[in-house]
Amino acid sequence: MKRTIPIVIAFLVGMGLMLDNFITFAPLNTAAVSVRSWLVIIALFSIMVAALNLLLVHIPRIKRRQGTWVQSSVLVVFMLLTILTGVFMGTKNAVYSTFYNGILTPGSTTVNSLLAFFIASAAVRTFRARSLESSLLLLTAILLMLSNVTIGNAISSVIPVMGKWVTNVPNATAQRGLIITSSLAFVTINLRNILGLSTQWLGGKD
Amino acid sequence: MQISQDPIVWLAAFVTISIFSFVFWNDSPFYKYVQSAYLGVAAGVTVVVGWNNIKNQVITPLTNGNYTIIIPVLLGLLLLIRYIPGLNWVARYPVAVLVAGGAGLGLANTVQAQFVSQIKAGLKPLNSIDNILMFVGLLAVIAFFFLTGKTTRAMERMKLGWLPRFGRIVLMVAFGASFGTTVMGRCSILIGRLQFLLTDFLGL
Amino acid sequence: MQNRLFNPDKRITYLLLLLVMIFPLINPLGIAIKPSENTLLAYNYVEGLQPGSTMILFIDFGMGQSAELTPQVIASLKHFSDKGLKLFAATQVPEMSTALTGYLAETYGAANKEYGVDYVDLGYFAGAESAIGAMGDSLIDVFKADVNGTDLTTLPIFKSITKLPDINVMFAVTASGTIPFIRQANAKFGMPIIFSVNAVMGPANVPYVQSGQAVSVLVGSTGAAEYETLINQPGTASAAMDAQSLAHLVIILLIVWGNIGYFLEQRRNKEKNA
Repeated sequence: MKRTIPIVIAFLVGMGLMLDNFITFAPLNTAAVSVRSWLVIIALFSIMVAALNLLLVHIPRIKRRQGTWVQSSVLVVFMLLTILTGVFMGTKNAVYSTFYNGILTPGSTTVNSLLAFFIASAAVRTFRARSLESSLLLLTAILLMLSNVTIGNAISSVIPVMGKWVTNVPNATAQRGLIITSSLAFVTINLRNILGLSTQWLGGKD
Repeated sequence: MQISQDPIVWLAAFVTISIFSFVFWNDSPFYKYVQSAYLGVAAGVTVVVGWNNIKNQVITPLTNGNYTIIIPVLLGLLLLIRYIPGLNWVARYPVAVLVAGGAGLGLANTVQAQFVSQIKAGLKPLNSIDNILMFVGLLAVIAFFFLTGKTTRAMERMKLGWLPRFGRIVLMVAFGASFGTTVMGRCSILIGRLQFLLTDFLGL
Repeated sequence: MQNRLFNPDKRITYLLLLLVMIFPLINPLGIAIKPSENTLLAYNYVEGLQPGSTMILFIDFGMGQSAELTPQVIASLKHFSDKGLKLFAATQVPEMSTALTGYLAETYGAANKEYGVDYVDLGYFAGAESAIGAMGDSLIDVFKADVNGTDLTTLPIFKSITKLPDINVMFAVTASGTIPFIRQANAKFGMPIIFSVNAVMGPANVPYVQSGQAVSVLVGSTGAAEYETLINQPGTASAAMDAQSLAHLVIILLIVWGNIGYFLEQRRNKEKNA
């Protein structure tokens, strides 16, 4: 019951939704429409699970005063303040807007912007033309970097032309190969999930 | 230069500079606490938006007598029961629906969208160097990924050992192209923050 | 000594990068922006749409990528608004729900378009690809209400639109993947899709344009700057291009400098071992 029924459910739902695309059979088609709309509502609850998980990780750390408990306290306090103001005062109130525009927006974008520093320093320190393949990678990267920005065209009109050729011919060829092979992997993994041959998604031992 | 009078802009500038401090000071306390604050707000915003959606898509229809959604609501609630000790196996039912639902929806169209369409696009008339390069390159890349010991020996016997090696070279060109555009992407986010500091905060 | 000369402290690299970005933001160089083929494809496609055509916008990027993709959203929405396209807007990232409302206010709202008639803010939807698949059956069943809680059946814009295939074009701005949209909209219903992706994903999506599964793929802030140039409304992306150019040039010069040091060291080692 703990493992068999979920596997049977997965088989029925997965096969049903897949066959709905190929078979015109009114009960199957109607059921598929319903199941597709159910997925949206179940996914909504899974967001709440993620938030609950976060609290279950940080609150014990705060209680035990262990490790980075001060940072955990800051996280939990801001999370609860945001939830209280957003749920009870609406998302247009001043406090929620302050958190959104004053903390979330700059925080999120600035953390992502740090990667520019690291990618630049990593490229400078490790990008070496050690072999044919690495030289090719390096030259292509430099060509694309120049052709992607306005200065490439200002240096020479050949640069964007070469960049376009590299993007549309060898790059597109390789990416097409990647798409084809990854699609086979996707089909294999998901068929195994539906047919119950792979049960990693079940988790647990019982 | 006209520094902004808006307290929210000041707060955003403080958050930005605190996070930037990590670049020059690995152990920056400003970075640590501001990051925790922003992660907390991010999680809070997710809950608020999720709650508003639950109100619109679950509570309002149920109170209006639309009970067709009772099954997915029960399945969704089962996800939350996983935190009760001894009952975490109950969450497998909604997870089964989610996993199989995503799989079933994706499978039906993957073969057409990613396999057939891309093979069609790769099979162009061999009447130009570009088309020949694309055709041979595609075979080479696929050969590279399908490489096993048996396949390598078979290909060497057929004098086709160069094909996966050529595929590797084509892949290196693609990775170089990806790196080139990745640099642009990361720089643009950094420039966006600098634009905020210079224009919105300092008024330059 | 030579090692430190050719492998400088990373903080020097960071400072140099900051300086070359800050300088052109204060003193623009004014290097011309030339629209690329992909941007022209997207622009011309939208230009070819009749006023009153319907467009669905999906925001599929987080706040972290907003600096890169927001300019494209704004430029595109201004174009759609000028063309009189009826817009359905939604996001599958919870934190972008508020941002989406802001984008619509800055474009359709500022152009005095009527809410509920010319555009609608559907807010956040959960389920990603599953939800897009469900939209193929019924948009109203997936969303039920707009971001303000208004019943969708009361909005005039939904008079002739019940499901996804009823909409003429999709504009998906994504930093997580184009495949779900291609699978659920283009492969299933033949829906034309214009993509705007972050720069990391740009090269990987070229095959979809070549196969005709995507109308075009607009890439990162460069695509946004080119689009702003085409619609004659320069914005933040255009202002950033000079800084992009100098930053790229400096990174390239540093890479070349590092490689010169590498080859000199290789030669020194060879001479030592000879």
